[in-house]
Amino acid sequence: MSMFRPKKMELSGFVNTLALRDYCKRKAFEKHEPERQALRYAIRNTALPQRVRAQAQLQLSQMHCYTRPTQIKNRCVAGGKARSVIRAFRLGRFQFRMQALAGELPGVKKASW
Amino acid sequence: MRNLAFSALNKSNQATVPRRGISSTESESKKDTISPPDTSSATEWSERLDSLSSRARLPRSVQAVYLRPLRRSSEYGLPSCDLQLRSYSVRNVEFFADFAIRAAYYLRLPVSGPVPLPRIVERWTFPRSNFVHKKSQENFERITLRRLIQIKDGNPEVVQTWLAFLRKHAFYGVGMKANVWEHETLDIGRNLDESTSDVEKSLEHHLSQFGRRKDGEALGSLSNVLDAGRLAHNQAPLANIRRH
Repeated sequence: MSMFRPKKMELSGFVNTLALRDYCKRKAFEKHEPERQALRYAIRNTALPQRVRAQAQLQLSQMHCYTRPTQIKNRCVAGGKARSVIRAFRLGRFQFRMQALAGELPGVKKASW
Repeated sequence: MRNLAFSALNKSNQATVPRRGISSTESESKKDTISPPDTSSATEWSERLDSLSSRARLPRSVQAVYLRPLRRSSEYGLPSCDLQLRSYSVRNVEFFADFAIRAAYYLRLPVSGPVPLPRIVERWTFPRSNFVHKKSQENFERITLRRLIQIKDGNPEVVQTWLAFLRKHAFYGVGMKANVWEHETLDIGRNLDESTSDVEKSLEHHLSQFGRRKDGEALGSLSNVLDAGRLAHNQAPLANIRRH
C-alpha cells in the first residue's frame, strides 16, 4: 500500500517487493500502535458505556490491515525467504547452513552427540 | 647453517688442494679457527643469561603473571558485584576471567571465582538441501560458556572503576554482564527526605513539560473523541461499504 510507504526507507539485507512490503507494515504498525491499544482498552473496559465500547470495536475493525501486528512476518536477511527463518540469526534454514559451514556465525558448529 | 657452510668450504679446499699429511691437520686447524667464535658466543650468551637470572630476578608483578592470581580476603562477605563472562571459546573466557581477577587484586577488591556456570547449549536441525529431501538432515550447535566472578565488600566507586577497566580492555569474543549492588545505611529514609528538595529542583524543568495538549482539550471526554471520529455520521454499522 503506497500510502504506508515512507519517503525515506532504511533498508538493509536482501530487498525485493516482499521485503519492502514487510518493512512498510512494520512502520505502519509502529505508527498506529498507540491508537490500537487505546481502542482495545476502550473495548475491554466494562466501566465505559456499551455504545462507546461498540464504537471502539467498529473503529478498531475498520483500521487498515497494515496496522495489525499479525501482518508482520520475519524474513531471511540474506535470501528473503519467509518460511523456516531462525529468529536468533534472522536467516532462512539453507542460508543458515551455508553460513554456519563457512564459519561466518560465531560459535555455531556441526553438532554430533 | 653457518657451520654447514664452513664445512662445505673446507671440503672444497681439500678437493682443490690435495696435500697429503698436512691437509688433514690444516683442515682441523681451520675448523678450530673458524668454528670456536660461534660456539663461544653461544656459550657466552647462555652464560650471561644464566648469570643474569641467578643474580637478578623479574619484577614481582611480572613474576606473578606466571603464577596463580592473587586474591584479597573479604571481611564481611557482602556481595557488591556479580560479573558474568560469556563466550563460545574456553580459552578466551578463561583468559579474561584470569585478567579480571588480577585487575581486581590490584584495585584491592576481594573477589571470589571464577565459578563455571552451566553451559548453554543451543541445537538446530535442518535439511541439508535447500528444498525438500527431509530424510537427510544436519545438526548444528552453539555452546555458550559462562564464568561468574563475584566482588565482595567492594566500594561502589572502585567497583565501577574495575568494570570500566574491563570494558576498556574488553577481550574479543567475550561478553560481559554485571549486576551491581549498593548498600545503604539504616538512615536511608532520612537521607531520602533530605535529598527530595534537590531532586525536585532537578526535575522541575521536566515536570513543567507535563500537562494536556491545548488542541486536545477541545474534544473533551473519550466518548466525545469517539463521536467526533469518522463513525459520527454512520447511522448504522455496516450500512456503508467499507472504504479500504
